[in-house]
Amino acid sequence: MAAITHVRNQHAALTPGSGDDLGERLAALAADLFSADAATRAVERAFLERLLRILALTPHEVHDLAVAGRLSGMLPPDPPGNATPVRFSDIPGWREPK
Amino acid sequence: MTPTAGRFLRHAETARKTQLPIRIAEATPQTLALWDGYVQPHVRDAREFRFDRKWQWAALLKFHQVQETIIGLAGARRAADVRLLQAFAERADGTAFPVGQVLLACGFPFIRDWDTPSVFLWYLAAAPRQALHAAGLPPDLKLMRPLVDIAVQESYANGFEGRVGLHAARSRWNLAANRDLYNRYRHIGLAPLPGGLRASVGRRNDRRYFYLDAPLALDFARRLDYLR
Repeated sequence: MAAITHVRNQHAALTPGSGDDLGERLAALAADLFSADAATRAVERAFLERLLRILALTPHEVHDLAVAGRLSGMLPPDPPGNATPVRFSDIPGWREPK
Repeated sequence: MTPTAGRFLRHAETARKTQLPIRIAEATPQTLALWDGYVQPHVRDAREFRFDRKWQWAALLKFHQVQETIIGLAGARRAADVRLLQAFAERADGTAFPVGQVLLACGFPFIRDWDTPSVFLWYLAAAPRQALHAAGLPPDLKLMRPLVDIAVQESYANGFEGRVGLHAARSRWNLAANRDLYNRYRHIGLAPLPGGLRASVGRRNDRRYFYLDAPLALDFARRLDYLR
C-alpha cells in the first residue's frame, strides 16, 4: 500500500483544493484491488499501470473517451452529492462585483 | 476590450422569444449535485441521441485539472485553468435550477495560433426538454449560444480577446447527430478550422474543430447584447 499512499500524497500536492477527493477515490480503488491476502507486488503494479494509463492521456484523448462513453469505466463512479436546493438569489454571479 | 467584454448574460430566450432570467456561476459540489440529481437522469433517459449520456462532470473536471497541472509541471506549456461554469434559471419556488454547463480550459493554446492563449470549451451540455419541463421551466429554452457565450466572456475576462476553440463531439455510429452538431456550431457563428491546419501538437484535424478569433467573437457577443 505504500505506493498507493504515495500516489495519494502526490495527487494532493499536485492539485490542492477544497472538496477535491480524487486522491481518496484512488485510494478506494486501490482498496478494491488490494485485500489483506492479495496485496502482492503484481497487484500493486497492475494498479499503478492503470493509474499511469489514465495520467498519460492527453486532454484531447480524455475528450474522445468521454464522448465515446468509455471514460466512466476508468474510475469508480462519483458518490452521490448533496443536492440541497439553493435559492436563485443566493447564486453568486460569476465575475460580478459583490 | 469591448463594451460586451466580461458581461455574462442575465437572460436566456425561448423559441417563442420570451426571456427568462439566468445567472452564471462556478459550479460547487452542491450545485453539481443538482445537475447530477435533477438533470443527468433525464440526459441518460432521453429518447433523442445525447453525446453527454455517460458524462461524469466531476470526474471530467478532475481529469482535466490533473492533466493541466502535469502539463504545467512538465514544462510542456503553461497550465490552463480548468473551470466548470453553470447557467441557472429560477424555478417558481425561488430555487435555482442548472439549465446548462460548460467545462473550460482558460489559457489553452488557440487552435488557429498555438502561441496565443484562448479558452478551449471542452464540454457543453444543456438540460434536456424533459428536465426543464419537470422543473417547471420553459422546455423550449435556447441555450447553445448562451453557453458558448460563457466561454467568450471568460476569454475576454482573461485578456484573450474573445478567442475560443472547441471540438464538435463525434459519434462513431450516429452520423446524423454528428452532422446536426456541426451545423449548429456553424449556424451560431463559429468558424471551422481550415483543413490544412492541425488542431494541436500531435492531433490531426478531423474537420470538427471550431473557433472564434477576436473579430468573430466580437460579432458573436454583440448579437447577444440584448440578453446581457
